[in-house]
Amino acid sequence: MALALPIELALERPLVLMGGKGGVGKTTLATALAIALARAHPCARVRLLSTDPAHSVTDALGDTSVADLGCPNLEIHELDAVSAFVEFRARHKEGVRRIGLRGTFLDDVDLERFLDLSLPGLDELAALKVIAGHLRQGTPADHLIVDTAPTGHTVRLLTLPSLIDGWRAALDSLIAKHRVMSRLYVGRYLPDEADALIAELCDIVKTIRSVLLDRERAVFVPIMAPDPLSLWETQRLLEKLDELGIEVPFVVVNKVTAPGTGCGKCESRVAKEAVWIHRACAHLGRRVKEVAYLPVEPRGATLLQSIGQRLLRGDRLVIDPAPRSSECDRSSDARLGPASLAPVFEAGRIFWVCGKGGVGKTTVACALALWLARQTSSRVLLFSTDPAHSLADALGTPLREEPTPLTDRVDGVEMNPERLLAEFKASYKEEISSFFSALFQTDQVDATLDRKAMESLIDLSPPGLDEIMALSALTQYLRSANYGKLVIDTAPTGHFLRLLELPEVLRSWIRAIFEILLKYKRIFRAPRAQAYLVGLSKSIREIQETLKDARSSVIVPVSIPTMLSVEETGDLLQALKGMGLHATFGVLNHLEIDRSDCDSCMCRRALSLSSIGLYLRLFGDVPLLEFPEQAGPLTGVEQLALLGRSLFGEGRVLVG
Amino acid sequence: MLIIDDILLSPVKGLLLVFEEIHRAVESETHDTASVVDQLQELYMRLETGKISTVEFDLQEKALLDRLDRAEGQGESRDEQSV
Repeated sequence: MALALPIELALERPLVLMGGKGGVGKTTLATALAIALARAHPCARVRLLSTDPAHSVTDALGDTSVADLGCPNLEIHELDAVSAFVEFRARHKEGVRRIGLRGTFLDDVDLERFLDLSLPGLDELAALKVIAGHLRQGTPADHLIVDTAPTGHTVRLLTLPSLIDGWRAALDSLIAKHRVMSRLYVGRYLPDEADALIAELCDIVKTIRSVLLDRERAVFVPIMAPDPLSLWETQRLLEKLDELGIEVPFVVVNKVTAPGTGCGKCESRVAKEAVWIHRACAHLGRRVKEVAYLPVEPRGATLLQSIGQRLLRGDRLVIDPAPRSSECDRSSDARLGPASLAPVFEAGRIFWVCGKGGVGKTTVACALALWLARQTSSRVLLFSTDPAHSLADALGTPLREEPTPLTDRVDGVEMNPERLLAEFKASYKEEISSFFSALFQTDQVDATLDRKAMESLIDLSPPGLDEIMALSALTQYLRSANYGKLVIDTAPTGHFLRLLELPEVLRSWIRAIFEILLKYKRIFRAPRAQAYLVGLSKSIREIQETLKDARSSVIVPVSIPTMLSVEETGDLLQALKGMGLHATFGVLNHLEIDRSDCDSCMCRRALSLSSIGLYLRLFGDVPLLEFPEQAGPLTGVEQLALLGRSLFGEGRVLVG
Repeated sequence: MLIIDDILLSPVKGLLLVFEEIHRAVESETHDTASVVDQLQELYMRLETGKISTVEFDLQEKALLDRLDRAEGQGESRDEQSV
C-alpha cells in the first residue's frame, strides 16, 4: 500500500478513475481535477471521460462551454455508448460473420439476424473500448480522468477485461479448426476480418490491464459522503479494488459540514458526520481527505477550478455561503395531503423507485414497501436491481438471494447474478452439450477443436448480466402469486433506463433464436431450452404490458435539492417519455424548509426552495411529494417503517 | 476464402439432410402430450417471429389446447387402468 504517496502526485498519474456511490460528488470532483490539471500543466493533454450513461459533466460546467474554460489542452468526452457500439459493430460485422460461418452450422441468413442486434451491458463495453483508445493515443505526460458510473457498474467495468478475454478465447476457438484445415488443404492461412476482430479484443484487454494494474500509471480515487451507507459501499468497493490489484492511495470524504457555525443543527450534523469520518479513517486502511460541503450549487468553471486546486494542494476546502435569497420563497398553498396518492398505492403492481445516485432511492424504496404493506392488504416484495446493493445496509438485516421476511407482510431480496447464471448453465449445460456433440461427432477432422469451442461458448458470461438477471427475476416474481406488489430499488438513472430498454433488446435476441430453432427444428431438438425461451419471451411481453399500464407500473423519480439533480430528473422524464412511459409522482428528498439564523442552513433552505421552484416549473404536471431532511441517516426496519408512515401518510404533496 | 469455407463446411451441411430424415421418422411415431406442448411452443415462436398473425395463432392454439386436453385425458385413463 503506497501510503506515502502524496495526494497531488497520485492525482497526476496518467490514469485517474474517480468512483463511488451515486451522489457523492464524483462528477464535480473529476471535472474540478481535470480543469486544475489542465491549468497546472498547459503542455500536457488532459482528457476527462464520463462513463456514466447519465452524464452530468456538461451540467456541472453550467453556463461555461468547454471552449470558454481557457484550457485548450483540456478535452471533455461524455461517452455515447450506443454510437461507440454501433461503430465497433459496423467495423467488425464481417469478422463476426466469418467466425459464425466457420465455427457454427449457421448460414448467412441466420447470422444476418444477429449481426444488427443491440447488446445488453453496452455502456461498460463501450467505456472500456474508449478508455483503451485514449490510453493508446496518449503520451506518458498526458492525463486521463475518468468520471465513472456509480459503484456497481464501475466494478462491472473493471472486471470486464476478464470477460472480454473469455469471448476472445471463444471466438478464437471457433475459427481454430478453420485455420488448421486451411493449412492442411491449402498449405497456408491468411488472416482476415475474423482475426482483426480477435486482435482488437486482445489489444483492448492488454492495453487496459497494462495501465490499470500499473501502480505508477493508474490510481482509483474512491469518493464517499460522511454517512453509513456510503461508508459500507466504499468498504466493499475497496475490497474489490484490492482483489483486482488496482492502486488506491487515499479516499475522499466529500460534503463534510464545516464546524464552528454556532448553529445547533449544523453542530449536530458535524458530530454525526465525525463518527463516520472516524470510522472511515479506522476501517478503510487508507488516508482520508476531507472536502467540505459546499453551501452553493457546485457548478461553473471558476468554482470548479478552485475546488480542483484545493484538491491538488491538499487543503481542506471551505467555500463561503451564497448570499441569502428571499425571492425563491414561495407560498405553500399548492400543497395537498398525500391521500390523493391512495388510489395509486392501491392499484400499483410494480413501484420503480428511481433517480440519480445518492438521492435516497434505497431509503425511499424501503419506506414505501413498509408503508404499502401497512396500507393495503398486499404482500410486498422489496427488490434491488442495483449491482451495488444497499438494501441490507439500509434495513440493517442480512438479505439472501431468496426472499427474506422483513415483517409479516414484507420480504426483501438481494440477488446474486453470477450465481443465478451458474445455476442456469448447470441446469441446461447437459442439453446444450449433447446438442453440440451430436452435431460435431461425425466430423472426423478435429473433434477436439469443436469440443473446445463448444466448452468455451458455454462458459461465457453475457454482458449486462445484472440487468438480464434482474429482469428474469422480476418476471418470476411478477408471475408469482405470493406478492401483490413489488417495490424496486433501481440502479441509478442511466442503468435504470437500460433496464427498461432491456425487454425489447432481449426479445429481439430471443426472436432471432426462435428463427434458428424453427429453421433447424428437423435437425436438432432442445425441448427444455426451447420451453425456457418461450416462457421467458412470454414473461417479457407481460412485463412490457405491465410497464405500459400506468396504473400497474408506478414510476417514482427521487431528486434532491440541487439544480444538477432536478435537471437529471428532467432528463429521466424525457427518456421515459421517449419509451412511452410517464412518472406517476416525484419525490424531492432532503429538503430544508425551516427558517434559521445560520448562514449554512439558510443556504440549504435557499437551495431547497429554488429546487422546488425549478421542479414545478420544469415538470409541474408530475405531482411532487416533499420529504424533509431527516435528523440523520435512518436505518433498520422499525425506523424505516416510521419514516414511511411520516412520508407517505403525513407528508405533503405539491402539485404545480 | 468463401469458396474454401463452402468446401470446408460441406460435411456439416450434408449432415443436415440425414438429421431431417431421422426427425421425420421420429415425429410420425410421437403423438403424446409432449408433442402437443412442443407444437404449442412452435406456434408461439411463429407468432413472435411474425410468421403468423394473432388471429391465426388464436385459432391454432385453441385446436392444440383441445388436443392437449384429450391427450392428457387418455394418459390419465391409461394410468388408472394400469393401477
